[in-house]
Amino acid sequence: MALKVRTKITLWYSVILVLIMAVLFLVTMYISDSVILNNVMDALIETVAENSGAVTYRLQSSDDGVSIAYNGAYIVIDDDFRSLYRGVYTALYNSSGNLIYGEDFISAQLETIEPVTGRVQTVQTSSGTYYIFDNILTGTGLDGLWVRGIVSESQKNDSLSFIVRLSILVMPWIVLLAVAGGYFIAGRMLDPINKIRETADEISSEGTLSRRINLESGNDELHLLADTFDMMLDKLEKMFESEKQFTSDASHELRTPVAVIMAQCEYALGESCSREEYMETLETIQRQGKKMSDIISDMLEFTRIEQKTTDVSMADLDFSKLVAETCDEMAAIGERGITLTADIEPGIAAVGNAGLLNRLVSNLVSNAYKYGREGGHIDVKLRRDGEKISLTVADDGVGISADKLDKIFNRFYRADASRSRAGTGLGLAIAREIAHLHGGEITVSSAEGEGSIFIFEF
Amino acid sequence: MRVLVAEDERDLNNIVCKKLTAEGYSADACYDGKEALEYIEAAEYDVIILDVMMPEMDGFELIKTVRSCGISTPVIFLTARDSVEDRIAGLDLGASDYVIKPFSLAELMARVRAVVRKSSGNATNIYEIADMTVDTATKKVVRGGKEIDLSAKEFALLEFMIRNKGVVLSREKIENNIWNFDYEGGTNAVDVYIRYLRRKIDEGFDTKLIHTVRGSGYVLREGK
Repeated sequence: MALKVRTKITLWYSVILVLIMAVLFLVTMYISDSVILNNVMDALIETVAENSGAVTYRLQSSDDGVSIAYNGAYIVIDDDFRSLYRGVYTALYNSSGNLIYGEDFISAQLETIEPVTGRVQTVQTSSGTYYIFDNILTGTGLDGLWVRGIVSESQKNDSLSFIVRLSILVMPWIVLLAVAGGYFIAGRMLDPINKIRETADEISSEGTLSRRINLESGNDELHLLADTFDMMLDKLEKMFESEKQFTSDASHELRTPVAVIMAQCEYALGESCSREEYMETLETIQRQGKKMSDIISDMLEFTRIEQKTTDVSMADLDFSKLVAETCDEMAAIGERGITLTADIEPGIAAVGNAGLLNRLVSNLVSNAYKYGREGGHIDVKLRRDGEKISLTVADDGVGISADKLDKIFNRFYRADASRSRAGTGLGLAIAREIAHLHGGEITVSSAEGEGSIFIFEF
Repeated sequence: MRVLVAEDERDLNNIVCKKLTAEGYSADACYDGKEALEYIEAAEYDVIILDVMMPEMDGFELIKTVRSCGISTPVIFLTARDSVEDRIAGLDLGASDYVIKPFSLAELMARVRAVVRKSSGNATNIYEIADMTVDTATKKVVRGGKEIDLSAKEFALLEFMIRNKGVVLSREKIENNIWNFDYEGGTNAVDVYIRYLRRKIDEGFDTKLIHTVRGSGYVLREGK
């Protein structure tokens, strides 16, 4: 990342802002220029018109103003005549172009310029540019006299330079304020992203999923994103924990049979044994090997079902027949003098995978055999209630205590924690996964010492 | 030396006991935590080999109970749980050693000897008295530069006595240590084995090591 997003954003709008300011400045300049020019012109024309009205021809001199002898009478210039007003120098000239009133340097200097009525003349002199407006007076005795207003171009530029100065003074501050404010706000807005990145960094460097972004309250998109990430991390952590537990459990489960096999071999190789002892050793090794093989195949099957990597093809099947057949098979093996009674409603059709459903039923039934009372009884019941099929497997064995009930579907959990008795510890976990796969659920109710009832509904 | 093996996997329990017996130790087997507690309360063991995951009462809970009863018998945990946390938990609860499955039987025997050695305050497996040395690892007994050949039971008796040299041991105590609960050989078995042992280690030497303390039992010591 060459530039931070924050810097990029700030840079981008700063450039735009400066451009806008520049354009605004130029437009202002242009408009001001013409407005001021108009103002100056207006002032020039109005002043000349007003001052023209203050010039009268009288026979006697008057106290009202300045009286100048002219053609045997007097030109009286009222006190209203303002020779310098609104930056306009006004002067009175006679017909031969000589200045007769309004003595000042500019008016004198521009004496030689021929009067033109009705429009403003622009005159270049050594001391600058001037706008000139002339009004040739008419009326008794005034013919030939003219009033000239002169305004310096600098009058206009003074106003303009004030605007320029103001702009130059104010605009950078506005830009600076906008850039700083924007940079700050962008930083604030992007802060969650930094936190997200830091959290991700910590997770990858520490390798633990327990870190959270944990933003303070807020409900903009970034806060929502952070919350979503946190939720995802929760989920991931749980999944990883369960995977870790599974791996640890699996290695634990496998270690015990390996320990037995290794110890048996070491003993048989190290001590001088009788033929019977060797046979016994080999039988033990075979038994433990079988156990490992069972654990491995159950683990693989569980993983396949759980991760849905096996191709589970669903088909119409006769569930009643499937349950009946499984029960017959299990009853034929008939462990530990337990009798099995099957009460199966015939002709219940279901959509499912025959192999997996078969596994589910046999897991439930063999579980009942395992934990049933010696010489006890197992009841298998299959019923259909509308769209719902329910399979009940009840035994009258040891039962499960209430605190262990919620754990029995956990992988490698055995209610009596005795490895030698139960199988791989995966049977119920597999059955439950199969039930889930068929959109069903396995529930259990049990009283310690009285037996357990497993119900599969889907 | 008497050892209790508490391990719910019967095949494993069986082979460990067999190996212990072959080494000349007496071994009792039990298959769950509660049973183990009863054994520990009933007899005096030199070492307890304990599985962590057991029905009824797990190994951690068992060692807590045992230690709270003031029994300081060394305990070796036998477990498939190899995480550091588990090992720390086990050792902190007062276990002397922690063996991870799968393990070598020979190593387990060495560890048994090690914890016994530690609890009897000996730095090596070799015990000495007068001109006799007894190596509990190689099961070799040498007196006056001559190697003495002993049967497993005789050696077990000698080992028990030399570990408690100078201490008068009652017949009952000896019996308890040398034979496990399955033995029903009669009360004079101790006297019989003491006679065998005397014949092998004391005959032909001026200094007798095995002495009878009338009314109390036997003691291994130099001089009277």
